[in-house]
This record gives sequence, structure tokens and C-alpha cells, in this order.
Amino acid sequence: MCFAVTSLELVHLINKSGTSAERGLLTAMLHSSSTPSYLDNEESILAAAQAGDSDAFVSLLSVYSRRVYRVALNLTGNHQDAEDVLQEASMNAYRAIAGFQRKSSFYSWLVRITINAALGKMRQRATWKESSLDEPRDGDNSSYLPVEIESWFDDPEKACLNVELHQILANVIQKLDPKSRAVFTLRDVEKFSTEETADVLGISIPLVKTRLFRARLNLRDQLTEYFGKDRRNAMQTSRR
Amino acid sequence: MRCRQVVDKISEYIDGELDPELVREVERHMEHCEDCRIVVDTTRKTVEIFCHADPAPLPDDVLERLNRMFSLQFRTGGP
Repeated sequence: MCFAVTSLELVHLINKSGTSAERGLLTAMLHSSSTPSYLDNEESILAAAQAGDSDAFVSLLSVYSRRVYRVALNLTGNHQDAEDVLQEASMNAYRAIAGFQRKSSFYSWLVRITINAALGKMRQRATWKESSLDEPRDGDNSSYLPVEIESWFDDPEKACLNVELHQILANVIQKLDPKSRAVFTLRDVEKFSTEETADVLGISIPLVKTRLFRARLNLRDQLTEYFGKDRRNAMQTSRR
Repeated sequence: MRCRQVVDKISEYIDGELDPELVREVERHMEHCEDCRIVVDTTRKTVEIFCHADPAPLPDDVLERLNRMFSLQFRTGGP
């Protein structure tokens, strides 16, 4: 039995289940570690969703909801806003799926909707300014120079627990300005191309490159505080 | 090429989007500049760490509320 059929059956059961305990169990099964990060037959599921099949839509969404939540969390910086964005973006996508033109992948389209919802939330919170004096001009890379010059220890990803790494990455990305954060999230976390990123955010390609440059160097400086060889040696020495 | 020019081109260099002649200049500079080698190496590692990181798990209660929202929507009508 292929994943999509199993998933659809589970989604159906979740929607029909009476108790929250049942729903929790079925939801856990749907999102268990065996769940792939894609659908083998996404094309047919997408077609069904566009034809009005609600279960097909939820099945599609279930594959991407974790990544949508990550985008929302990276942009808004807190779990409550990220959940609001996830709900709003999911419902907006559900209402608009019939009109999806397929000029991009379903995920790119879903992320575009998520970004719009996140920007709306950030504007409410006044964390997104339409213009900023410290915003770099197009092509102006020279406004950022590295502060920390220090080698990192080998395999920093393996050196800390997964939970620790998530926490470190979440902390440092929140210290970026919101616009650089949005570009970095799309380009280096969600692996969008420069052109797609520019398109989704409605900015020029040179501006994507400038913001990406600043974000990468800023994050590098911040991560050196965690992964720098000298600091680690100093920490180990002080523990002895 | 000076250090500042290397830093300015660092993003395009690690993305492989730099003109081959400039790539040679960057690499010539790095042969004798340890600071730039470190900055390039750690910038590349920065991108790789974020690129390889799995999304944090979606909290169960968040997922449950999302499913509940759709259940309600489906009971009350289509899109």
C-alpha cells in the first residue's frame, strides 16, 4: 500500500475520530518518523485536492506542515505567532487550491502564502518596517565585515545534540534583521533559488544577494561564539 | 585582491556563482591569507549547518489544533 493511500485513510480517521486521544494517536501515526518528506504521487493528490477533495488537501498539507511551521517560526520568532501563521496559511491555501496555476511547485506556492501570512503577523507586531535606514543598498556588500576570525572545531553538527543545535540555530537567526532573516530562510534553509526568493519576497535579485551576504556573515560571526576552536578549548580548560 | 574584496565576493564564491577569473584571484589571495581562509571556511560551514538541519518537530498540540480547524471547516462546508 503506498503512503498516500495510508495517509488519506489516516486523515479520514482523524477527522471522524471522537476523542482527542484517538485523534492524537492517529495524528502521531500520520506524522511518524516513517513519513516521507514527499508524496510519491503528489501530482494525482494535488489534482484531487484541486478538484475539491478535502482529504487530498490535508494529505498534501501533512507532508509540508513541519516545513511551513519552520518558515513561520524563523520569520516570526515565536511559537504562538508561528502557529497562527501555520493555521492562516493552511486555510488560505485550502481556499485557493482550486485556482493554483502550477507555475511553481506546490511547496513554493504554499511558502509564498506562508510568507504573506507571516509578514502580516510581523506588521501587526511592528517587527517589519517598510523602510529602514540601516537597510543595505542594492549591491552594497561592503557594509558588513567579519568580526570573529577563528577556526571552528570539526563537525560542529555532530558535536552537539540535535535539540541543542536546533536551539542554537533558532537563537542566532532571530538576531538577524527581519528582512535578512526572510531571505536567508528561503535561500539557505528552504533551498529556494535566488530568483524564486526574489519573486516570493517581491524584491530585486541584487537585493536578495546583498541581504543573503549580510545574513550569512552575521550568522557566521554568531556561530563562532558556539563553534570557535579557541572558545571550545577555553571552555574545556575551564572545566578541568 | 585585498581581504575586503574577498569578503565582498564570499557569498558568490561559496555558491559557485563567481566568474572563473575572480575565483582564481580569490584562491590566490587565500593561499597566503589565513584569515580569509578561515572566514570562507566558516561561512561555508554556516550555510551547510542550516542547509542540513532537519526542521524541529511540529509540536503535537499545534498539529492537533490544525487538524481540529480543518475538521470544523469540513463539517461546515467546502472552501
